[in-house]
Parts: sequence; structure tokens; C-alpha cells
Amino acid sequence: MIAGENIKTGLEKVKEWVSWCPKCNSCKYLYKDYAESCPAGEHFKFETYWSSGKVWLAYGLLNGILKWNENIIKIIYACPLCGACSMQCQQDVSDHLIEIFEALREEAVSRGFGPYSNQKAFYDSIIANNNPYKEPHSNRLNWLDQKELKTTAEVLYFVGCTSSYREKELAKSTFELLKKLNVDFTISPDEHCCGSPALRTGQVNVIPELIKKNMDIFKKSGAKTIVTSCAGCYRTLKIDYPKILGKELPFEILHISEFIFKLMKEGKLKIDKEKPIKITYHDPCHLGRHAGVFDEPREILKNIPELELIEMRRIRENSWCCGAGGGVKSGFKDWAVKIAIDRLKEAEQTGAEDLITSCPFCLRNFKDAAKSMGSNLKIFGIVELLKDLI
Amino acid sequence: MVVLVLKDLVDIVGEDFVSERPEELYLYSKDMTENFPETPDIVVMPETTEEVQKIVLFANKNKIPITPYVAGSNVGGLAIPYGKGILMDLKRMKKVIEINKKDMYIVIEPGFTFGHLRKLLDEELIEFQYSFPFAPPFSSVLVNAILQGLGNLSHKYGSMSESLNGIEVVLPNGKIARAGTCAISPYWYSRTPLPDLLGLFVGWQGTTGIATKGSICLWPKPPIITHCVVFATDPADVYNRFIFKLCRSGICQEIGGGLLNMFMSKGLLPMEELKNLIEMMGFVPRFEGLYFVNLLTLYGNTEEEVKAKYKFLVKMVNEINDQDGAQLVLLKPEDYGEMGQKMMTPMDLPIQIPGLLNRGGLTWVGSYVPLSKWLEGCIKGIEIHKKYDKIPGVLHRPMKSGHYGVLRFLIPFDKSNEKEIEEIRAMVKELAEMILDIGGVIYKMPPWVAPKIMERADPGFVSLLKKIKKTLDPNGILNPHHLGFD
Repeated sequence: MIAGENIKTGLEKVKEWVSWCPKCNSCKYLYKDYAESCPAGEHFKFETYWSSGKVWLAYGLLNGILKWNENIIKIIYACPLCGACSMQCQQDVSDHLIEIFEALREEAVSRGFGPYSNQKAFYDSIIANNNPYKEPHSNRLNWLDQKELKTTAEVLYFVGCTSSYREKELAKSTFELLKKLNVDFTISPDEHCCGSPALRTGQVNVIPELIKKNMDIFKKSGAKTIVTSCAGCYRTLKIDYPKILGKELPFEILHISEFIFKLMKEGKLKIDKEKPIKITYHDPCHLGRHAGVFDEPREILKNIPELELIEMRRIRENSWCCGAGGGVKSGFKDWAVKIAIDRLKEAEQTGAEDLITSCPFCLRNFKDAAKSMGSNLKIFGIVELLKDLI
Repeated sequence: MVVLVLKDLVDIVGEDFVSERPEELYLYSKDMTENFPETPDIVVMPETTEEVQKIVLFANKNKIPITPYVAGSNVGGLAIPYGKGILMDLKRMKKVIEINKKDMYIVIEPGFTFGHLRKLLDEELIEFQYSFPFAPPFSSVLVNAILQGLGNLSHKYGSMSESLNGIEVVLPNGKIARAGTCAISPYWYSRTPLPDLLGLFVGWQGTTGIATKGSICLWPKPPIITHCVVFATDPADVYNRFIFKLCRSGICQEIGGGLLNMFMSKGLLPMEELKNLIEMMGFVPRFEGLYFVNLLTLYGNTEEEVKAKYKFLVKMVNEINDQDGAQLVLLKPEDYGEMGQKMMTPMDLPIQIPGLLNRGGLTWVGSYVPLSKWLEGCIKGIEIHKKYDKIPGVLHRPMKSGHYGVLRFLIPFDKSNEKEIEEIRAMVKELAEMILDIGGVIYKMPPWVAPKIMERADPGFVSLLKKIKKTLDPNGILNPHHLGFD
């Protein structure tokens, strides 16, 4: 989109790969575990909703066998883009599945079929307010008591829209934690949405502008490291920005769990305070499967004295998605909560008292699910746990 | 017409499980093979036998074809709805109805998959085993048995259909019937002593009834199992003599092999390490021409028993090498760390078939042949591959202690390449003709081969088939155009 005029868009981008899926159905199960892997397929049951189905749909649409319609929109937007299928598939197409699903959405938008109205509203709000939540841009740092921020610093904390406007505790905790750790950091009051809600729903036109604005902010901050507490922002900054720009970013992009663990490894952080609780950890899809960050949050948790980490049945590459991602929370509100309920039941089976995760979007959906099912699990982010121990 | 059918089917299963939407129908119109596509008019997903029964009653009354479907991964186009009409997707029927450890069987629904079975065996039925095919985990256990597929215990127990104790079917007229002891007794333990009515449904490719339950044998799992690998170069007839001797010895519960060439070309075997290893063992590594590999499983109740079998196997290999100047290389993968593990990958079933399907297309010509003819068929098949400039991938297995054999040519292809697909269509026809010429019979017969088989069949056999089909399915509604005479 930015790199040149001849860049292919929509399904043209993925044309080479859409005939590669044999539909062997291996994506339907966790590899060598045989538990279910795909929230959309398991719920809607029609072949179209599984990964192979969407790849074949892409083939059918590209080759004029199928015509765009409302049901196809439902199918392609019901996928939380969790990427579990790409971990199970053993064929070459596995490396391109998410790209194919996102290309389907991009094509749908370009043809005027997608996205859903709530997702469109996110997009409109990003353009109008620099965030998807229809909140004034000027309120972005309302969660922060201390208004005086450094102009430049070694580290820039990229808060993200969900933590800035909805899961403010996460933003506050991250801020406090960085303060306690004496990190030379700052936050930009002019931070813009990273673009994830638009990018995941195929609304790509706004992306070049968002990248430009955020890159300017990063440069102005003088930061060498951009830290974020949001898995969605992390995936977008770490993977999408360089891909779209066609070059590596001149900053290190770290999730807060990576940043903290790095300090631990360097001997700059040791947790002495005991926390005698049983917890379980949920891997956010954008942090784990998409970006390969599985170990750091677990290592941090293991370094907390007296804390017992009990793993769920499906973890790491095989985690069951929280259900919020890929626009599902906005497009299929009730069903998104149902997916999260499945996960909370799995968490409850471990006997843990708390569910910890590393993404404000997962947190939000889990909290909604806990309320809906009456779960006693306490749900919070890893930084919320850490800030009281340091 | 479609609107009417939609309403009727929605009344039976609910609106969430019926679709006449083109994109949903499209997914059922083809499979991974070169077989021509055909789109159903409507897809329906029942969850109970009663729902299946109602759908069949409705379809029969209105003479609407039905194609039963679970995963569509039969590699033969058998679930492509050539009669159009209703596609009945049975994946929601995945329950285990009964587990009977004492009598060693389980009763399952058609949507119960090899993935489900693996989990059940590993977690709850650890003293048992079942015969797993070289197939992805989302394949139906019951359908595989009804279609007379094979598995990794087929050397000992024969085709998967021989593991069937009984079935419940919905007949084309909507009546429910049972075959096997379950027709008389509450126990689904055997097909004998009764007229074996499973023969009305097994091997009929879903054209005489829709199975809604089936009982499969659980086989006792030997406490001690050791795997061995045998590599063999030309001359192939020496390797063949080894296979025959091995069958007669009765020391293996699994014997399954193939021609290495295609697997080597796909990078599925650690070739450099293998070459080094074979060299270290004092043999000359050669990977041209006919290069066979065979995975063997020795079994017993004690370590001593298995060790004695292994000793016997070593003696057999040495005798053949001494007498014939052949190169049979015997390895125990457990002695070779990671490489050994990689060698054992094909035995870790069900399998996701890494790399083999990278360009979306896979077909095969699979056959059961007299064991005495498999090598001749293999060599002729390789010649056909050469003619079409394809690297041969051949699987073979002596079945039921060597009473017959599997000869299967496995052909991956690029599904976006129309020219290659046309060549594949011509090639599989030649392979099928060759197999029929040597006295073999194609199993899970694809629609293009079925008429060829019927042409060669004894007229009395064909006439009887037609009468049975007409009696069971007078309106010809079940999976039309998959028998070669309908």
C-alpha cells in the first residue's frame, strides 16, 4: 500500500496460494492432540467456516465460480483470525492462511460487501478520532494522573486504544510498573490507533496514514524501544508495519512481557514478594501464535515466589482463542462471548483462582464472559499482577 | 423445487443445519483428486438416526438423490454428488454409543473420526489398538471400514471391513435395519453365525444404505512392540522373496512398505543421514531404480519373545543377503535417535501427511491384488509413471498374513495446473487398466473406474449387483453414478 504503485490488493495478493489447500481437514484438529482447533468451524459446522473452506472460497471467488453475497461476508468475518489452523496444517499453504483470510476481507471491502456496520463504525472513528471507540483524541491520556511526560526517552510506551479508553487499569499498571522499575520512558499524548481494528477487517485505506503518524511519533520520542501492553498493537507494529513498509523498523518493538523478562534476564529485576496463588495463563493469539511470544510471560510468572502456574489443556500454539479478535467481538458480539466461555471453562478445570493474560482485548472479552456465565475466576493482565509485587 | 426441499429439511434438522447457498454447496462439489466436480442442490447435517431416517423418507418419496458425506477425504471422488440432490453431511453424528472392553468392541456413529479414536485409545482404552490408515485424522472410522480401506494392522487382520462386527443402516426406503449379532442381541460382537447381511452395505460405496451406527473390533495391544525398518535395492525379486518369507513367519503384526523415490523427492526422509548410515553398516547406498523401504512391527508378551523374533528376523535377512548377494539393510529406528524418529513418522497414525499435498492435489490408484502379482504390477506401474514423467510413489502391504496385497500408486499434483490434471486423468486410467490386467481389483473405486470393473466382471455378478441395488433402492436415490452400472 505504501511501498509502490504495483502492489497487488485483495485476493490478487494471494492468488498463488489459494489452490494449495487439499482440504485434508487436518486444520480441524490440534496436531497430534485431536482436540478441536477452530472456533468458527466448530460453531457453524458448515465446511465453509473452517480454514480449508475459506481457502476454497477464495479460489472460487477469484476464479468466478462464486459470487460475493451476504453469507460469504458472514463466513469470512466469523473467523477470529486466531491462526490455530495455521499451526495444525502441515502443507505449504499454512504459512499463508491468515494472509488469505485478510485478503478476503480486503476484497470484500473493496467491493462494498464488508465489513459489518460496527466494524465500519470503528473505521470511521479511527479516521475521526484516531481511535475506534468514538472517544475524543484529547482524552487519550485521561487515565493518567501525571500529565507531565518527558518529550524524549529511551523507551516509548505505546498504550493502544483499548487500554487508553476501555481497560484503563492495564494502562495504569503498565505506567506504574515502568515507573517503579526506573525505566526511562515516555508516552505520546498524540498516539494514534495502530490500525489493527481496520487492518483485521479489511479496511486498509486508512493504514498508510496511521503508520505515517505513528512512525513520526516514534521518531520524535527519540525512543530506541517501543513497548506495548496490547497483543493486537504488538502484532501490528512488529509484523504488519515492516511488511507494509517493505523494510525493518528502526526501533525495537517489544511486548511488555518481553521487556520485563529482558530486565529479569539482565538481573535488573528480581521479585521477592510472595504471591501464594494458583493461576493459569491464556496465550493471546496475536502475541503467541502470530508473533511467537509464549515463553516470556510464563517465565515471568515462574519467577514469582509461591505463585503456582497451572496450564490449561490447550496452550501455546494450540490455545483456544478468546474469541474477541479479527473483528468478531464487534461483528458477532454474543458468539464472541461464547468462545470466551469455552475458554473460561477450560481455565476453571485447572483449579486456578485467577486467569492471567497479556492483552486488553482478551481481558475485555473474558470479563464479559465471566459475567455472563457467573464465573468466580479473577481475570487480569500480567502487569496488573506484577505492579503490586515490585 | 429447492425452496420446497429447504423448508422440508429445515423442519427436520433446523435452519442452522441446512443450506442451499452456493458457497456452501461449492465446498462439497469436489475433493483433493482429479475427479470432475459436481454441485449438490442442498446440504443437510443431521444429528440423529431419526433425522437421517426422516430425510431419507422425504428424499425417497420425492426421488431426490442423496450423497452421504463425512470428510470427503476418500481420495476417490466417492462423496462427489454426481446425482446432485441432497448432500448429507454426517459429521455431527460423532458419538461413541458403547464401549465394551470385555467383548472388545466399540459402537460408533459415522462422524466419529480417527482423531477421536486415537484420543480414546490413548486415554481410555490403552490396552487396545485399532488399524489406522495412512490418512488425516479427520476421516471417518466407520466409513473407512465400510469402504474396505486398509490400516497399519491390515497385515494381521485384513481390510478394515474385517473389523466390522455389525452396523445399523437407514435403507433407501427409510426403514432402519441392523446386520450382525446386534440384529438379534443387545451385543454388537460378531457378524457370525448369521447370513452376513453386512455384505449388502460393505463395499457398495454408500449406494445401498446410510450407516448410522457401527461396531468395530478393538484389537488387543501387545505389551511389547518393536519397530524395524528394512531398506532394499534391486534386484526387486529378492526383496519380494523376503516379503513372502516374512509373511509366512508370522512374526510381524505390521508390514507396510513402499518405493522410496517419491518420498525422497519430497524431502520426507533424511536422505543424507540415511546414506551415511547405510555406508557405515558396510553397504553401498544406492537410491536409484527400485529402492524399497518396509516398516515392520515385531510384537510379543515379553521382551524375550520379541528379542527372539528379532533374532529370527536378523537371521532371515542375513540368509537372503548371503544367498542372493542382495542388499537388505535392517535397522531398528530406536537405535538412531532423531533420524530414527523421522523414519517412524509414517507409523505415527493418523497422519497429517506433511508436505505431500503441498499443491493441493492428490490422487491414487489403490488396489488389492494377489500377493504373487504385486511386484509385477509395481514394475509396470513405474513404467507408466516414467511415460508421464512422474516420480513413482508406491505403497504396498501384504494383507491378512499375505493372502492378498495392497498395491497403491500415490500421485500428488498441482491443482491449479489444468494440463497436469489432464495428464493425471490419463495416467490413472492406464494404471487402473494395468492393475485389472494383472488380476487386481481397485478398491474405493472412483467413478471413472467403476464401469471398467463392471465391464470385466462376471455377468452373473453384475446382474446380482443390479438386482440387489434395485431391491434395496428402487428409486436409485443413494449416491448415484458410483457403481459403474447406475
